[in-house]
Amino acid sequence: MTIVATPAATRTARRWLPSRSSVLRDPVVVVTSLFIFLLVCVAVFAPWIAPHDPNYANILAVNQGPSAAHWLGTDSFGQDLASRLFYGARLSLLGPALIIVIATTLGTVLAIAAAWFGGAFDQAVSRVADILFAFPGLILAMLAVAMFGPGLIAPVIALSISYTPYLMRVIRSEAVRQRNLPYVAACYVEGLPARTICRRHLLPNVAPLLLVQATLSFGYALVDLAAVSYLGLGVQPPTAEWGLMVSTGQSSILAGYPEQSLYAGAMIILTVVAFNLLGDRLAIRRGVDRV
Amino acid sequence: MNVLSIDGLSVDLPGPEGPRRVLYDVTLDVAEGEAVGLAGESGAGKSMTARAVIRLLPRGAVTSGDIVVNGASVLAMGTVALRNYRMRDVAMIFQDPRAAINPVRRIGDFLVEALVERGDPEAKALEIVTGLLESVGIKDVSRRLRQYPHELSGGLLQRVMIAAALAIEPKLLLADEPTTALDVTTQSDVMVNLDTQRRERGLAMIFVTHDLELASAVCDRIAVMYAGFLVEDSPAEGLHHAALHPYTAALLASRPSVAARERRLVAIPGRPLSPFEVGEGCSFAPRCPFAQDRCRVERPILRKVGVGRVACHRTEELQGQLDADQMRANVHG
Amino acid sequence: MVDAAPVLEVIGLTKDFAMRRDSRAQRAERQAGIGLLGRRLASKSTSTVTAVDDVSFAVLPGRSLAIVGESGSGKTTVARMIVGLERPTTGRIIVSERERSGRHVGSRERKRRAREAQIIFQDPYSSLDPRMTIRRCIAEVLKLHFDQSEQERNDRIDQLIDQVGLDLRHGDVLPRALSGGQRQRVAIARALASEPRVLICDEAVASLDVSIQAQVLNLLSDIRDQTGVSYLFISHDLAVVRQVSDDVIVMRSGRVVERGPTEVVLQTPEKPYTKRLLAAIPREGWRPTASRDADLEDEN
Repeated sequence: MTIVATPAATRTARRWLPSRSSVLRDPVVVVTSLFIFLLVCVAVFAPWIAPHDPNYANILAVNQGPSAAHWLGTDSFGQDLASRLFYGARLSLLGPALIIVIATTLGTVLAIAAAWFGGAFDQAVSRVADILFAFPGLILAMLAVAMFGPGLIAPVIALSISYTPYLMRVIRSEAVRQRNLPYVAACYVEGLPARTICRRHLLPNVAPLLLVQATLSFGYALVDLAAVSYLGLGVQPPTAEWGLMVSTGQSSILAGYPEQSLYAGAMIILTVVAFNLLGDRLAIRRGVDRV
Repeated sequence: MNVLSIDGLSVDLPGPEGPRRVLYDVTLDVAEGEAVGLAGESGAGKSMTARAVIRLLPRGAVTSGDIVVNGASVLAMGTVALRNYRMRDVAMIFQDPRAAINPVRRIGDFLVEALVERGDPEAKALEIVTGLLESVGIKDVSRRLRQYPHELSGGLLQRVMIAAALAIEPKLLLADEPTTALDVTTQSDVMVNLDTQRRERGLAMIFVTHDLELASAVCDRIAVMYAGFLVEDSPAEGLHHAALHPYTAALLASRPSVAARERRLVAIPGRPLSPFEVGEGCSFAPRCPFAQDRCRVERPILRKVGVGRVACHRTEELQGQLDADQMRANVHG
Repeated sequence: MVDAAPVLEVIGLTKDFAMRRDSRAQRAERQAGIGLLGRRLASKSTSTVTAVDDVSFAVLPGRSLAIVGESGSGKTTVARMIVGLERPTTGRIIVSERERSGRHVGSRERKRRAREAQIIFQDPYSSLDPRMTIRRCIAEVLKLHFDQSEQERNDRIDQLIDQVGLDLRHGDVLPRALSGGQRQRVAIARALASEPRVLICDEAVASLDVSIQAQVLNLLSDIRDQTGVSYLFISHDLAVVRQVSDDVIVMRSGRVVERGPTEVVLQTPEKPYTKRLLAAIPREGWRPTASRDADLEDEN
């Protein structure tokens, strides 16, 4: 095994992202990242770019096809579909984002702690995770809604708790692997305090995996949350949210106007696919990027 | 009669910026019953050469030149011919026995498999295999045959792998660092075994190793590789005191000795080059204590010198200076 | 010779590992068909392996001691216990004339101990944080132990990089841009940064190419001359041991089999195991000899 030491190889340390050159050359990564970026822009700037108020129901313009006034047409209430999709992006992206942020943070903290301390603490955390694992996320979400009422908050918290064990498990196995490598032992012998080793050495080295898992899980979280909304347990009508739109558009399908459900459904699918593809590519790159 | 004839073998592997050369025009013959050591440091191409002989090259490898075993060209073989070749003519022993054997199958099944594939009836195969395990020094064979790989120590498992290699009665044995992962006492035992078995059956062998002393002890000839080039091919006895290539002498000299402590070891400056880093001229020139201007621009070709072959411009001039012991002494000034 | 206190002393060191899973012997037993009825329940989960058995030795200041052994000899476990990566079952470890207790120590005490003994590991490819540049890696150690201005620290980093024979340019690269030998030099620089009195080399050159091994061994020798640091050299390679150490102890299955000045032990070994080890080393004119039956290796 020979590693080349070219004198000009001055790679500056990228602490969180995989090596820039290889990732950005991948067309799939470029396309999906662009798509996600556009989506986020749409969500953030929805109030400025949406042609209409998403909740304004013009009963005179019910179930219309695409036109200059209504780019994608209207739904059965006369609401502008395009605007609803734009505004829908906000909640449909925010929900999963919250879930992922919470679950990843919690999962990572527990994972690194479990990996570092090992022994009884590790066993305890792992077993609790196993138990939580047994609960399907949706059931937990439904339980939360039953207790706290519908909306965004209850399902988000429930799903965050539901996603944490998986992320914890995955990150823990990598954290354990890293922890057993000599460089961690070297830090220990150098006299570095435990929390410094975890923060400065373990965390950055599990970060790539973390990023990949977060990206992949985002798609699942989106679907789960959309399902919750579809079931009527999430945000309530007339709020614009993709999952909800799929649900309320159901009756229109039979009437011959599938657009509402279709467009909303398509957005969900496209977004999930984008995240999955991105996550998948990052995972491959991470494999290649290993020292 | 040569069992193996490698003729001008060059291998390119796919790289991030186009194909990278890993072997440069390697030419080597192995006669019947002869043991040739393929020695060098990491990246030299010795493992790659051995694997090329059994055509176990990585995906995307592009070869030129030829490898002829018993008259047949290995690189040109079709699938069926290749399978027969690997089942009958050549056998390989790998460095890590645990990686080369299926951990969920019993030793007996593993050993018998190749023979049964070949068409031997199972009972006969079992008989052959039992005899082989005994001949490699394993006691209580019937118990061992029923065991799984994880129940055997590294040394024992490597003997099993040797038995497996011998079972198909090949004409040529390829041993890729078979004892590197073993303790030194185990290594000694396994080598005795391998050597005895090989000689008894008159098998030809290519023995890949980074340990020049070990190779000298069990091989008739040593072929030294550096950065993808074959730089020397000489009889084993002469190597310590009259190597043909400066690299060989320097390598032998840089090894510490059990017999005495040196004030300072002979240390070749720099590090072993990867084949694709090689520029114009001799691959060893940047590190060679005897390099001259000619060496840096003109690549030396492998040529016959006395009883061996060498790729060096200055071999004749340097005669007498390529003595490992003398190089050691010179370090003290 | 001045009768100085040892910089490292180990007395009656023992390490037992409790095996929770079946040992190879027990699995093999089961395979042979002895079965549940034939086995006492007690033996199922409480077998212990004694990795280190009553080991004692001392390293004097500026001297170099080697521990030689094959796999399973316990030599690496001894090294790990000295730097606190394993806790001894019994025995005493005294470094720089201060006792190291077997109890868990806080980070303050650990930091203090870092200035006494440091370790270099075998695998250069995993003993450096892959995401840190060389300079940062060394800087981390300096920041922890010394109160320096940034300029002073940078100068010291330059000095260390130079001392281990690397180019200053190498300071700004990630480990993946360096070869095994270069990484091992970085590991040495990092270990030296805390200015320890004893440096433990756990098979530190075993993974290196022969020509690089020679360079690193020369380097270690130079460092000893320059800094007066003592070495505890763990190795299976007797030739390397001869080159780097003044004294040697030979370990087998956790016990010390023979000890003495390196020259004496390797020239005129007394114990059969030591003789066997020596006889097995390839050298000029050597031929491999069978020393024992194959099955004896598999000592279950």
